[in-house]
Amino acid sequence: MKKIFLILTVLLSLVCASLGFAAAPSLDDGAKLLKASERIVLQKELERVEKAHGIRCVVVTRKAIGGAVPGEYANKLNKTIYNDAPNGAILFLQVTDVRKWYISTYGNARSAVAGNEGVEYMSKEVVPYLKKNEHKNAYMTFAKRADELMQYQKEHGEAWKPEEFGDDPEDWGIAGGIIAAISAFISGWWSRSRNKSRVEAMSNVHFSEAADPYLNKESFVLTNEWNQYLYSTTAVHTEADHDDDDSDDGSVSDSSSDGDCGGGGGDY
Amino acid sequence: MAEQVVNYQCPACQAPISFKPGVNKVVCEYCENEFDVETIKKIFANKEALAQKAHEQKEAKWQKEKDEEFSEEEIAHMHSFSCSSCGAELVCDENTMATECCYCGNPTMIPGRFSKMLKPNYIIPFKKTKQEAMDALKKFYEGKQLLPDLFTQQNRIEAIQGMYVPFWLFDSTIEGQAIYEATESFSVTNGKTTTVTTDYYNCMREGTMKFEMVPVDGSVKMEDDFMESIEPFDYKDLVPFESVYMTGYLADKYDVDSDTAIARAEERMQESAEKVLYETVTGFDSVSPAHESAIVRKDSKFSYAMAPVWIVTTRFEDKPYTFMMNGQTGKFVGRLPIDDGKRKKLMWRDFFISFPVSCILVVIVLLIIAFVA
Repeated sequence: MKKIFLILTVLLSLVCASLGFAAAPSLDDGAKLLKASERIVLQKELERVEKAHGIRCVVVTRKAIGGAVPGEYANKLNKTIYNDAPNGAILFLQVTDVRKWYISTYGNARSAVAGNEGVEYMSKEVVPYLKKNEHKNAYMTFAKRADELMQYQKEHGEAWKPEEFGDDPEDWGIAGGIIAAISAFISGWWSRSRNKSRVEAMSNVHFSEAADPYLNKESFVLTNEWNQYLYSTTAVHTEADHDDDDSDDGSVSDSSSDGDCGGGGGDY
Repeated sequence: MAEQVVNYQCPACQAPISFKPGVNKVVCEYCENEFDVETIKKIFANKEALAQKAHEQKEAKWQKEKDEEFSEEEIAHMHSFSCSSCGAELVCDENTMATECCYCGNPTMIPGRFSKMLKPNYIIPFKKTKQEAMDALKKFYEGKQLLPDLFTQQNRIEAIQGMYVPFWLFDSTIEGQAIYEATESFSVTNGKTTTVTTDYYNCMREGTMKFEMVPVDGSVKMEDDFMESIEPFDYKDLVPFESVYMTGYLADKYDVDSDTAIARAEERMQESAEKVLYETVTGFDSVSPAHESAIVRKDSKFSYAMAPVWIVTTRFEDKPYTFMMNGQTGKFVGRLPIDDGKRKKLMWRDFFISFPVSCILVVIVLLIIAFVA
């Protein structure tokens, strides 16, 4: 059923395209999430990005996709409809009934948004807008991030990737400083302790606090004892759930990569 | 007129004799004769009785005489005696029981000071010699990194003097009571939630215990912290007081009375009682020190004893440094001067030596953390 619906949708799109549309529009707001004025602004922005990088930068919204997997659905759209740009396509799909989103990449654009890091970089800012139903902002941000990633690849000849420790020489300086500070603290504490014990060794004159040596230990008799309960305190500790892969924050939890397309998605 | 003081002189050659630690005999360093304590005691018993009477007479007279050159306060503390050996006048304070003549060096007793309540019940004879005190001082310097170099080079021993210090020994059965705060914790884990419940208790403990011969020094001149630092004395060597043991040493009678001294003994007994009762608070996860405690003395009695102490006085950069050694056990105590320059230098040296090691350790720890994460 899911596959039939998927094939029908794609065929419908193909028919529409063959009926005179030279290229499918970059904004397909099937879920009617945007106002007309917002559509115009977004359409312009998407076109600007497309022209700048020779890609298709697409936003597709759907109320439902008949139970299809969002990733597969988006990849199919990319491969069949938005495959007409020289440098490939970056497509953002939002499915409102299941509150899912997916970013699909195709062709050369796929290499610009390499791996989950690139998708995550885009979605981190987009998904919070989706949660707040600020759809225009979400899609505009998507377009902006796609522009940035393509630009980065153009300028650096490689895909953007999150900065890792050591990429920036400053990292080593900071790490060195932290290590030196911790070491200085430890050394300072150690040398002060040694110094204190040296000073204490210079005198063994002190008052005897107790009369222990003069106590006849066998003479001790415990004559009375009681324990009186006073009060109780309760502390509750909850272990942090490290396995909870909640993608609400924009992290990528779904992936439907195949030979031609890449990308990732999640919930919002 | 009978002498007020008695010089212990060799019955054979009349040279000064003194009690020799270790052999437990009174010896003459000149003719090398050795005498039992009992023998000397019998020989000089009569002389001491006469000297005591003479002292009482002199004391009575002393009250009437006033030398205009001294204030009343000074006179109250000064007493003069004639050395029975050379006739020189010895001046000492009102607490001196044994001394030596500064002219002829004869050991001199003042038996009048032993009379009535002033006579000690016990004495712990010296077991450690002057040479052992000097050796102990040298050993005390060893390994003291902050000691000024000049201290060992220029430091000069001004005096090493064996002295019998008056001590009060308190025997007491006490009833002690103390209240402690204790906690007991239970934890229940339900899934990822752990609930820790801590119950707080007040624990009262009451018990009786006996303390035997808790010492408190009875001399104002002797610093209390020094006297407590050379403890403990081994009471196995405690013998009934005989003045013959004091020959060749200095000795003062007490000038802190037993009523005053007992407060310190009680403080120490209370501290010990708290510890003993603390150990009975069991079955809890934590027990804090007593926040309330009290002791009641029962069956208390005290005795007066003389304990042997070697006092070593040195001088460095015009400042006196006093060290003391337990004349029975050899426990040596004192405060050494600190070379501040050395202290700083050693501290920085430690810092620079430990810094690279710390760096390596920190890097290893960070790598382990990164690897585990």
